[in-house]
Amino acid sequence: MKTACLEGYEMSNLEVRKAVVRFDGPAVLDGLDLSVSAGEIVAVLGPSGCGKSTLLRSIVGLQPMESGHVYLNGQDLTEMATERRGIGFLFQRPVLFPTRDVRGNLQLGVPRGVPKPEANALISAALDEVGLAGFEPRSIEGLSGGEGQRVALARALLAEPKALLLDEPFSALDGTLRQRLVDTVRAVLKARGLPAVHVTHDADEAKAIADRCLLMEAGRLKEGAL
Amino acid sequence: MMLAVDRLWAVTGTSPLEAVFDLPSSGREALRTATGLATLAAVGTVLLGTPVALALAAMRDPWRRRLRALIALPFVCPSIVAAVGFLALMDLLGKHGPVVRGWSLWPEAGPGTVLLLVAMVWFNLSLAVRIVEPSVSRADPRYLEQLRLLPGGQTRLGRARTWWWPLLGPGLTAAAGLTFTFAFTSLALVRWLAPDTLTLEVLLAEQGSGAGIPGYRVDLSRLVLGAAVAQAAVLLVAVAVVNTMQRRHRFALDAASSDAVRRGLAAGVWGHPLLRWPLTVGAALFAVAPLMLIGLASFRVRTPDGWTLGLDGWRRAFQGDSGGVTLMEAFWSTLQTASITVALALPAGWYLATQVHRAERDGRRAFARCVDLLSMVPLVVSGAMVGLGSLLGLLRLAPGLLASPWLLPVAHATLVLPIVVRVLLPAMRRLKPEFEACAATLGLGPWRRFALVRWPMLRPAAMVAAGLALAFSLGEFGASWVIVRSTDASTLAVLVDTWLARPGFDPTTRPAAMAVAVVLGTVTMTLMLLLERWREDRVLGGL
Repeated sequence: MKTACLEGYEMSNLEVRKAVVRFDGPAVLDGLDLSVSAGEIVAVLGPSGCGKSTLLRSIVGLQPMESGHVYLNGQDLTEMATERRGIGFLFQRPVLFPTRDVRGNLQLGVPRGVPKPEANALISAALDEVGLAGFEPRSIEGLSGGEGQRVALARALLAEPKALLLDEPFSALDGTLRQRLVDTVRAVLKARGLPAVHVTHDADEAKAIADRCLLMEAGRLKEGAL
Repeated sequence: MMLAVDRLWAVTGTSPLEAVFDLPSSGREALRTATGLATLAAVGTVLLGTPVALALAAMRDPWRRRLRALIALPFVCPSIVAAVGFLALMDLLGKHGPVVRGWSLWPEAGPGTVLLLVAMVWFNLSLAVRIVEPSVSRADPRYLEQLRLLPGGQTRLGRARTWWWPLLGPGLTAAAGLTFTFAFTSLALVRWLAPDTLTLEVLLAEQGSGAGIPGYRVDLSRLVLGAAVAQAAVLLVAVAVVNTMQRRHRFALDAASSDAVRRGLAAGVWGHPLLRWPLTVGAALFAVAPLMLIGLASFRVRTPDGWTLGLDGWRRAFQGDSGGVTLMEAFWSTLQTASITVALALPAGWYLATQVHRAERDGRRAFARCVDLLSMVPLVVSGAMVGLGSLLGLLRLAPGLLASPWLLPVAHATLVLPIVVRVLLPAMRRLKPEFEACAATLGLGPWRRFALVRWPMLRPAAMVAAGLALAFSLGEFGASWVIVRSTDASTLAVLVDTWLARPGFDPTTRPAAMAVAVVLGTVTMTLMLLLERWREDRVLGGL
């Protein structure tokens, strides 16, 4: 799938091959395969506890795999530390550090070595991109759920990820807010041409954001209709 | 401790177990007395602390907070200052003072043991209040209301068994266990309030310096070995009881608003003004009186006709005795020791807490429990034993270091390690793993994750741990008293003891001891009270 890409961003694709993850019992991921093209948004649907979050945590390296491989642009990431994989992650609830304000949280996403004025400009642009212009000095406590998730998205994008994983980041939001955020995220991902995997148990949300939908069953993925 | 036991074993040729079973009569008497005193102190503390806690819980803020803060003062007071406070109280009683000091709990216990018991209860009262009051303050009264409507809760006994005991029992047992531990290892209080009484801690502190020397008084080394092992065994049981009870104490209850609870309690017997006010104000006065009297006693100089008020005691304390340590020298030395203690204990405690937390997180529960318990070991070793262990251990390993200024901070760091771990570990457990996971997905490596995420979030807990370690080291007496005798250093706590031990014909020695105690008490208690406020404001949840 070819998608228009924002200038300056590299196209990349993400692949998972024969992933096996097992906790005490049957395999949660049982030889799972997944391929996501550059600029493509794939939704993974399934009931709670079926292993959707485990799949994302395995891709980003937070959950060790028993066997299998993760590739990004053909490079094997399987043995690589999480922080070196270059994959962004949006958690179910926005993980914002309470010891820092919005700017401080976004600073964590700015690549190392960027001079301060330039970093501030990048932060402002990122906030603008997610519709939160001028939020830099706000404290974390004062943000609503939707605003918090937008800050987390802006921070994840600032780190210039080569792929983005979304672990039900809209599940705690109400209908209207959720729709607006879905539109924002989709627009941003498309503009940057990033491969993205979005897990959810909500079929409507999956339809709204994704180009392709996969169903998770017995530790594997199968094609589903949008 | 292990090195000391090893040394004594080698010197006496007697195994620790044999030494306990063959404990001479003086050792057995010390064990009996220490156990009897500590048991009575534990029972007395719980009996007095429970009604005070219930009455406090039935009160409205700000009086509740104010009275609770006053009742908490003794617990943050160094033990030597507490001893001096009761001596000042006895001085104020005039001719009745010696009479009270002559009272004995039982014939063999020795004169002064009644006063000693009162001081032990005074010291630990806030502990019982601190453990019981929060349980009561959070308990939703609707549970009790519901219970009254059910067959099992229609009698007082039924409600006591079904509601009050599960609510308060484990906490009270934990408070009793902790009081027992502190009373069992009390040195300064026994030494100055009941000087003829022999407990295991006194025996170890006073006799320990002659032990561990090959060919010299092997009987003494055997006595010290038996006493040390017997003391550790009793403390091990007490700490195990406390740990078990504290775990049971954390049972889940739907938290009710403090107003709802207070209304519920205020409607019952504990809310009656004739019971509530005398109990709480009385407890606060009991807590504050000895401390206030130290200040007064530092200005009170004996004359042939009675007493006069003057600055002679303070002057003497600042000038020092002939060749002795001045107040300021001891102050700086204490501060130096306490600072090194923090510098040693904080990284060590951080490392241990991190290991326990990581093991818990990775599901290695047995390892986590093992390291957690090991880090608690210093709790079952008294101050005097740690001091003695440090000396005897060094005697075996590096005798040249016996006069090293590092010896005392190392001993103090050993004693405060459990406190540091106990403060840091809950804070680490409260850190959501998502924070570090999220930082890793943003490309932050281990060091940047520590500097930018983990440290800023744990800094308040680390500050509290450092403050507690500092305050503990400033006021520590047992280990300091044992160690300082073999070095050139001194601490404020030891200086108080030194002044008190001077011959009584000099009218300025007692006020000089009081003056040093005022400085020590003020510094330590101010630090502890500041920490208490910091902890309430910054560190999430209770520690």
